[in-house]
Parts: sequence; C-alpha cells; structure tokens
Amino acid sequence: MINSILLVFPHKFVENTLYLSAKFSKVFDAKLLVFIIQKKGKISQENIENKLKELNVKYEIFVEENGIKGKIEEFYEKHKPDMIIVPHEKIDPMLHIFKHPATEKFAEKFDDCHIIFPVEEARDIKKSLIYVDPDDDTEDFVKNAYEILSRVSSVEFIYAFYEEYYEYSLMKTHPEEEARKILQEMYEEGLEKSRRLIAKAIGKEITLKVIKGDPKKEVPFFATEHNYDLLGINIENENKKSFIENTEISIGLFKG
Amino acid sequence: MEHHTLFSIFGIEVSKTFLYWLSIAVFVGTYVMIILEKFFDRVAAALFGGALAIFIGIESSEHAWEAIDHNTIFLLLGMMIIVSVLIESGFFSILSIKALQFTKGKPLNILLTFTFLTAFLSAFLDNVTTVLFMIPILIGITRRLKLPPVPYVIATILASNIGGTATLIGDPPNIIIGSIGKFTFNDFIVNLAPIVIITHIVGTIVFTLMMKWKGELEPRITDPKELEEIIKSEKSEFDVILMRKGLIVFGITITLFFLHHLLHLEPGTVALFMASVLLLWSGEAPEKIFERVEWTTLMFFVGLFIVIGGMESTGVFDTLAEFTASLIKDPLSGILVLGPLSAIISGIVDNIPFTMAMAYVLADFSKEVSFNTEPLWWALALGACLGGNLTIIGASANVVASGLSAREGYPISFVDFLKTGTPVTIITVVVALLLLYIRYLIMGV
Repeated sequence: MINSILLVFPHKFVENTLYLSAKFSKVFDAKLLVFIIQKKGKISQENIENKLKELNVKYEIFVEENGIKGKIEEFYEKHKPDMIIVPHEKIDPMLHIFKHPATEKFAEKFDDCHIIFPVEEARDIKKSLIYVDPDDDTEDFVKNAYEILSRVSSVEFIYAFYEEYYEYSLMKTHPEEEARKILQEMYEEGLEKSRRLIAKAIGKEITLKVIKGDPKKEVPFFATEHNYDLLGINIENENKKSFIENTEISIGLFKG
Repeated sequence: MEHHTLFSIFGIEVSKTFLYWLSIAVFVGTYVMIILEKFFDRVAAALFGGALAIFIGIESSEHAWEAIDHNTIFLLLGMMIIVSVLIESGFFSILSIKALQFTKGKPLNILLTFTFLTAFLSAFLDNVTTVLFMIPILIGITRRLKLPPVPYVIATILASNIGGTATLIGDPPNIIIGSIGKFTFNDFIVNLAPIVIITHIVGTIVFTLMMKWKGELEPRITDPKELEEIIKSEKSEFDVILMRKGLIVFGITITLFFLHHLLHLEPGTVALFMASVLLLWSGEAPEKIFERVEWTTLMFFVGLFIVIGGMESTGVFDTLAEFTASLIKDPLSGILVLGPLSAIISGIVDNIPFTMAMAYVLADFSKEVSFNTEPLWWALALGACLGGNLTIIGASANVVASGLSAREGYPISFVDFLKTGTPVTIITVVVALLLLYIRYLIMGV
C-alpha cells in the first residue's frame, strides 16, 4: 500500500521526524526517500545517514542546494512517492497570524498522495483521530486513513455536527420547538451516515466521537484537548488550510 | 401624500409653543422610563419616545430620519461586526491566555495585566464587548486560583470605562461627541488619550491599594507546581485564517480612523465599509456574525436620536444654549462646571441620552458664544465616560459585567460596587478634569 515515503527537511533537520518516518517505513516496508534542502551546509548529511543506518531502514538521500522552488515537484514527479512527510513547526497561535507554515505549501501542491505533517516534538504517534464528514468524505478516504494510522497507532473517529449553520435558517422558517426537532433529526441522520460510512469502509464498528460546532475550529481543539497525537483529515477537504493552521498537534492528509 | 399627525386627524391646531413643551415632555418621559429600568425596558422606552414624537407631530418622519445620526450608527454597527468576527476567530481567548501566562498566576500581576489589557482594548473596542469576553475568562482564572473574583471583576469594569474614554470609538458618549461636535479620531487621541493614560495609572493605584488593604491580593495557591499546572491547562479554540483576516481589516480600519480627516471620510463610513469588506472576505455566515451585534443598543440610539431631534426642531436646544451661555462665561470655568455635572449625572443615569442632549446643547452654545468651546466638549467626554464608574448602573458595561458575574455565581451588590467605584470615580474625575484645566491654563484655549 505504501512503497515509498518522501521525507523532506526544508532547511532544518528534525531528529524526531526522522524516527517517526522510520517507523512508517518499517511498518509498511517502504523505502525512505530523504530530500534535504541544504542552506549553507546547515544540515549534516552524514549525521542523517548514520541515524538511518542505525534505524535499519531502506533509504536514499537526495540533497538540493540551489533552493527549493520547483525542485520538490520535479522530484515528486520522478519518484511518485505514496506518502510525503514534512516536519511541522509548532507555531504559537498568536505568531501564526503573521506566519504561514511551510507545510501549508506542501498541502496546496500535492493532493494525490498521503501527507503527514508531524509536529517537531513528535517522535511517535500512539493515538490518532480521524475526522469524518459524512456528506463529502468517501469510503476510500476512511479506508486509507484507517489502514495507515491503525498500523502505527490506536485510531478513533470523530464527527462534528455544525448545528449553528443550520440553526439560523431553520429558526427563520420554523417555530423554535419544530426547528429544534428538525435539528435533532439532522444530527442523528449525520451521525448514522458517519457510522455507516466508517463501518462500510473498515468493515467493523468503531468508537465514534461526536461534537457540535464548526469542524475546522472544534475538531482541532478537541484533538488537542484530548491529547491525541495526530489528526487525520481528507486531503480534499475544502477547509484543509484552516485545519492545518488550527491544529496544534500532528496532522495527516489522506487521499480518497 | 400629506402626512397626518394625531392632532391633525382630530382637526386640532397646535401652536409652536405647545409643541416646544410637548417635545420636552416626551424627552423627560422617555428619560424617566429609561431610569425606571425595573418597570420598562430602556430600548422599548427609547423607541416608544421616538415614535411618539413623530405620531403626535413634534417632528415629521422625514425630520426624524434625518435626526438619526448615521455616523454614530454606522460606526457602532461597523465596529460591532469587526469585533464579532474577531471573537469568532478566538483572538480574544488567545490574548487572555497569553495574559494569564504572563502573570504567572500572581494576584497583583493578574490585576495589573487584566486591567491594563481591558483599558487598552476598551480604547479601540466597545466597552460592553470588552467586558463580555474579559469577565468570563477572569472569573475562570480567579476561581481556579481560589481568589475572590468580585474585586477583580469590579477593577476590570472600572478599567474598561477609563480606557474607553481615550478614543473616539472607545465609548458611546465619545462617538456621539465626535459626531455632533465634528471631532476627528486624532482630536480624541491628542486631547484625551494622554489624560486618560495618567488617569488610568492613578485609578489603578487607587484600586490596587484598596484591594491590598482588604487582603484581596494575597495568593491562595502557593505551590509553584500547582500554579504551573493551572496556567498550562488553559487552552482555547481558534481559527487562524479568520483571525488573520479579522486583524488585517481591524488594523486597516484603525489606520483609516487616524487618516479619516485627511481622506474626508466619516469614521462611520470607514467602519461600515471595512466591516462589509471583512464579511465578504471571511466568508463567514452573516447570520452568525450579526448574532453578536448589539441590535438593541443600535435601536436604543435610533429612538433617542428621534426624541432629541424633536427637541431640536422645536428650538429647545437654542433656549438651553442661551441658558448655558449665561452660566458659563469662559471655557476654563466651564470645565469645572460641566465636567463634574456630567460625571454625577452619568453615574446615576444612563450616560448616552445625557451626552446626546448635552452635545446638541453644546453645538448650539458654540454658535452663541465668541470663545472656543473645545475644552467643554472634552470636559463632557471625561465626565460622561469616567462618571459611568460611579455606580453599578452608571454604564452599560457595568450592567453587563455584573450580570455575567452573577450568572457565574458571584453577584455584585450595588453597595459593593459603590465602595470601590465611588472613590475611584471621584479621584479619576478630579485628576482628569484638573489635567484638562491645567493644560488649557498653561497652553491657552
């Protein structure tokens, strides 16, 4: 399922990410393509090589010294990896306002492979949470995300019902009691759809967490609050940029 | 189509003098209803007064429409929309968590940081909005640190009214003064902000000493590890993209406020335009954003503007201006008359209708006298805004904050507020008016 993993270090080597990538590589028996973007010799290639030997994984190292522009795309087209891993710099939400993380660009450029953005502090992933949108997500996405994450961590699913979104319009056209009843029905319908989607995709019933509110805000908050190590979303999610920026833990984008 | 009034329907001819007294009666009646908050809703009272003025023919509906100060309404609406987006983005929650981390859980640091932050934010946002997000966070923090929340809440309320005095957009009385007195955003910054900064420092010293004396600044949790855990556990949900957009628009809006006299754009026009840009750009559902807009406050303003417009059209303000001219012979003595008077009245009753009526009187008064009336406008602003701290019903922010505190299980009694509010108000009003007086005494009017 995963034959090669592209691990990118843009200007900075993160040991934790190397260990995490090695775990994925071993679990899937995939080749690790380590792509280093060298800036004034900051990253020691020898050091990385020694660590990779120590970790006993299949690897190949590529060094690019003349800037990043266009090089990753070129490399990607040539090697067609199944997964990309890029360390994600944990930025304080306040500073985040003024700074776009480099990982965002990767999410924009590549949407036909799985992408993992582990926070720099993450050496392992033990507990993952997958966000499911029953209206837009496909069985393939749920299946892929589950199959990948369940081999490295425990997995739970989450469904968010954006009650407010429907509430405003319903309250305009229905008496309060009636609107509440319709909302409850919509909520239950969404929940049932999510359960069916997950069961069909992975072939079994699994714990489904349910929250209410704007998914792009509430789901990342829930994941941080409940100490998950990674949040998985669909790579085609229209709010993936917001999910990346609002998530303080590692995030994985999985294709459908 | 000819417009009929209640009197014309019955074929009753009314004199101008009758309408003159009738407009005063409607204003006084509305004011009494606003004061008697226990019996009447103040918004309903203001709207009733305004509609009554049109219905009985004090003014035509066209005149009533013109009497509504669009600049004030647009400014309030625009800023409420921008702030609503910022609240939705989680910006203020993050800001308060940062403040908590900065204080390291020490009571004095919490008091100083939160009062400073509240005063600063109140200068650029509506006071009610500021206390709406500051009070629940402050109560949460003090509760976790086992500190008594009420004194901290009162200190925050006082700081919000002091900080709001600094700018054109900080407090509704200033918005009214800026609009009717034709003052720019920069005029407020130059004339009021330095005075308010000193006043805030003095006010902070006063309530810090009072709290210290009562033992309310003693830490209840002394174990550093437990303190660290509490600080670390504070988390908030946020939307970075929305926050970025909100802050960019907010920043441009404030910049345009500084430049609005050069661009010949009214602050209301700037605020409403930028709010609409933000609504378009953010893609947020307008229903969700509009939910936080204080429509009742806007309607309160609309009603009052119509009531006061009635008095303006019947010539009441001309008479009042003549009377004021007989009392105030020069701008310096005017500061000492108008400032304390505004503070006392604003502390007892709502400062919005008082400021609105007084601003119209001052506008007419300025035409009557030969001296520069600018110091009187600043005295009115300082008195009306700072006077709001006198009692728990002196300003909308006080009422909202005490309501929030009660809901969290910490009611603030009238007397409790008075014990802190009155000394702080007396000292801050005296300091602020003296500074204003000295400034004009030294630099000339």
